[in-house]
Amino acid sequence: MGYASVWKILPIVLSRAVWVVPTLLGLIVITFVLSRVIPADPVALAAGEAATVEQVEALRVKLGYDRPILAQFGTYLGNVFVGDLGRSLFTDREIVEDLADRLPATIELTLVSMFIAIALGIPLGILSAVKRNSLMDHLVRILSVGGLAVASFWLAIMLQLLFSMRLGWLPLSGRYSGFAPESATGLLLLDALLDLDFDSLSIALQHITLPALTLAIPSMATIVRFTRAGVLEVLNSGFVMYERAMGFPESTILFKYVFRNALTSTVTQIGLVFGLLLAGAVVIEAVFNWPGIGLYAYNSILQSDYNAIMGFTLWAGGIFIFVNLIVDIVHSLIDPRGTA
Amino acid sequence: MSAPMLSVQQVSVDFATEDGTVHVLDGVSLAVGRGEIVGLVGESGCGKSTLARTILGVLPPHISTVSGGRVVFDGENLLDMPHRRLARDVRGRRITLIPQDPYQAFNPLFTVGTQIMDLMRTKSPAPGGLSGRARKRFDRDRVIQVLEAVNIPSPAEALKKLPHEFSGGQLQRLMIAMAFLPNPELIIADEPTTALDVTIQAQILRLLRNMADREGVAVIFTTHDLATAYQLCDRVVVMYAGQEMEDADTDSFFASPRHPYTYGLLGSIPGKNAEVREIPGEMANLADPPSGCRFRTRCARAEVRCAEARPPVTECAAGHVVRCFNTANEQVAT
Amino acid sequence: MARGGLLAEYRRAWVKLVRDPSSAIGMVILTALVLSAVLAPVLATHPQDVWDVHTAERLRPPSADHYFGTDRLGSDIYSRILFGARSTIFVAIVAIVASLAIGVPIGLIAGWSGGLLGNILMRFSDIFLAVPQIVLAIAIAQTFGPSIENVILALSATYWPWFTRLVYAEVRSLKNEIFIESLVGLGASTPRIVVLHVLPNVMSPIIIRSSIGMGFTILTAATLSFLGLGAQPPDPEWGRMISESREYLPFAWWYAAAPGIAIFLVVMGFNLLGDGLRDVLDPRLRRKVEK
Repeated sequence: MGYASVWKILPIVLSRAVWVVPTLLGLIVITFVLSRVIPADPVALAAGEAATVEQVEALRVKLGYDRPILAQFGTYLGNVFVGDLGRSLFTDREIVEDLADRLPATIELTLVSMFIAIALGIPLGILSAVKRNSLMDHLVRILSVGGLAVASFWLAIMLQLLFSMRLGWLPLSGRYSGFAPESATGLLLLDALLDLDFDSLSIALQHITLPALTLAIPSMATIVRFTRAGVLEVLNSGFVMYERAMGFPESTILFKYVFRNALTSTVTQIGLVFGLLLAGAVVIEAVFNWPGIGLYAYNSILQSDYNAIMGFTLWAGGIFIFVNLIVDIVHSLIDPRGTA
Repeated sequence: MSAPMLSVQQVSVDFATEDGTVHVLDGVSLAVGRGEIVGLVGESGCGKSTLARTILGVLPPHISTVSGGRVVFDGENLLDMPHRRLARDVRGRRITLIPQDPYQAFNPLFTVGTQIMDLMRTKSPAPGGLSGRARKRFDRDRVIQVLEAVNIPSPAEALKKLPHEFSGGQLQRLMIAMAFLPNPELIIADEPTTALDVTIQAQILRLLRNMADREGVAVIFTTHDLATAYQLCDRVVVMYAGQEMEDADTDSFFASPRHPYTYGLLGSIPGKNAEVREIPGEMANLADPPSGCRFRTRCARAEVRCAEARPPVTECAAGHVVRCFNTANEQVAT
Repeated sequence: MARGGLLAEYRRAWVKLVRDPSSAIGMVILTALVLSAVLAPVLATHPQDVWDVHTAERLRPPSADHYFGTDRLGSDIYSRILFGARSTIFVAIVAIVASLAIGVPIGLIAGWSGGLLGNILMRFSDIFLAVPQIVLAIAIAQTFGPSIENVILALSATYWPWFTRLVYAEVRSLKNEIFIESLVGLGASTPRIVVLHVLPNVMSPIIIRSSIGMGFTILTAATLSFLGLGAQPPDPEWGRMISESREYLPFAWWYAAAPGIAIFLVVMGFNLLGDGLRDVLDPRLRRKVEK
């Protein structure tokens, strides 16, 4: 890819990136309204039930909640902009720090799930489309409909019951047995691989198997459905008909031409899949006691830690918007027709 | 007539649809000699594209069945040929296609060069001794040469472009080039100009005719336009409701048409006084075709016997066949 | 004529829907759901167990007396599942109707007017799609406090943009159709055209989306309840039942199994019906597949 194509891409990237600003702003307005405007007295909530009237009033002035709502929003916006999401009412730490501590565990879980979903979902979707109406196709379709219908927290519990409690094959919960080794990257699997520490790797793998698999299932079902539909559409397209009529080898048609086109449409779904993973992480981490951001959000719900929940919402929304931006850009790169 | 290169004999094709079985082709026959350009004319839905697909062996799977007949190409029945051999040795090598819509026929994500070279990789007419690099060079030279022949400006550059960077006319020139590249014996041109701008249709047709004459390739050219067939073809076959109605060499066809449907079609060409005459009625319902003659429901000269029996295919003059009871009648003024 | 044609088309669609195996299965499941919700007091073997506590009967495995076993308070799980169907249907229907009531008008206005207003409305709805639904629903449900009503609020507040998007796209393409253009040319009033001609023509995608949305909403509602943001005890709610069962999991597998299977079947029912509806009602898709 030369400079010429970089110049061609830049306007596309910019035109997409510009739309991120109002969306992010809207997201911040929503969390602001939810945390400051709707609760009857957010300060009383923040001060806790034991606080006296004087303490609440002092806190109100300290937090600036006595100022006009627009001024408050200005401060809020400024804080979010510099990465200040407020303090957790429960851990009494900066929420950003809390999130940062728990980020690697969530990244590791999400990446492994994404990998499972893609590595299984795309081939199954393709196979199902190519062998349309075969036994294989019917089986894959039933599994994908089921995968979208099952409540992932329930599936997680059932798998725990079977594999951990009954069979004892896999650990019940957590990320590691005992103390995790000193971590350089925060990603236990990667660390173990880099250190060639196969004992740690095996322990970490055992712990991640069930949560990653459960988390991956709805995403995998989504990918299977979109890939299957995409391949079927491409198989019916004019150029496949032409290539067949001209006797192109079937392997070239499938592996070179059809896949590229079908994958282009699957790529657009990666954003959606990422959303499913983010949302699923809350319940899956809660069930498997996986020390990531999802578990943090779950604990915040249990402790009615409003600040932490809004912080989590902003974080998840921000990441989601960013990932969708990337997907959008990648898609316009893969598809040279450029829809900008 | 000596044995033709391609002869379609009594071919019937059924499609399974929601409304039942549709007899898209119903005992259609035609023959193409070496280097001959045959025009296959009819309204949309008459089965001409299905016939083209049947010859190529690329009918839509699952829903279509060939229920009878033979497609004999160079002494072999293509309908009996194993799929693998058909795809490898016949399609794209001895019989090629110029598709209806060049916009649809190129994969939008790959450069034109990639797609052409993929064709050459398996269908190149390179001499057997050549292999590897030498063959690639031979292929590339031939591609450039043929692209020049179809008037693609700076062919080497064109190969690096993506399909959407070309105009429709240029894309169809590329399609024509691809049809000629493997040195085929027969080209099936399936309404190659319908998707194009009117102003360039004539150029494309002229190009096709010149190339075919120069290379001595036979062409089956489907169209719904008799005037085009008149300019381009050596012989004209008129199809209606999955059957050929009249089949004659171009001169005889236009000088003394015999089938009432042909009169209708000729009438629907704007004449000197620029009047367009429509054929009354609608295309026969192929799921439940009329008894006897397929055309009788729209025929001005239908008689009782037309409903009772299928009219035979009769040769009314040398090389001029008609599927009608009324061929003996004098031509009615049109 | 247009509406007569539509009616006839819906009748044809119905016949195809019944014949299609997956949507037929979906309809059977959903009929069972509605029947168990309506007839819960009759079908339940221990209808009082929604509130009653029988500590002596705690955590009994499935038996002839308790088909799905009993829970931590000795209540009959089978009976609680039947009553749980009521709140499931209630939440899904109210949330989807509310989403329709917000989303469809906004989509119609945005699509019909286009321009700046249309752009602003669509950007506004995009903001709600910019956060994974469950995350925003958690934030909303948490702010307003845990209850069934607030779960419905959270679900409607996060689901309506899907309808807006859908209706917007359909109206944009419909606006260029000749018959709509000619109605405008004839001087028909805008509300009249939109309500009498545009709306019936976007009904099919709305119906498909509603069916899939019901399943999705039920799943999300169950998740919120599981997280403790939904129904409060002693109300029987499937997600809540699963969350209660976790402590007793090693020795009472049936406690979690029954409500989970109930959720699975119902969501699957709506998804299958939605897929079937899509095959039958969406002519564009049909053409694509058959071509």
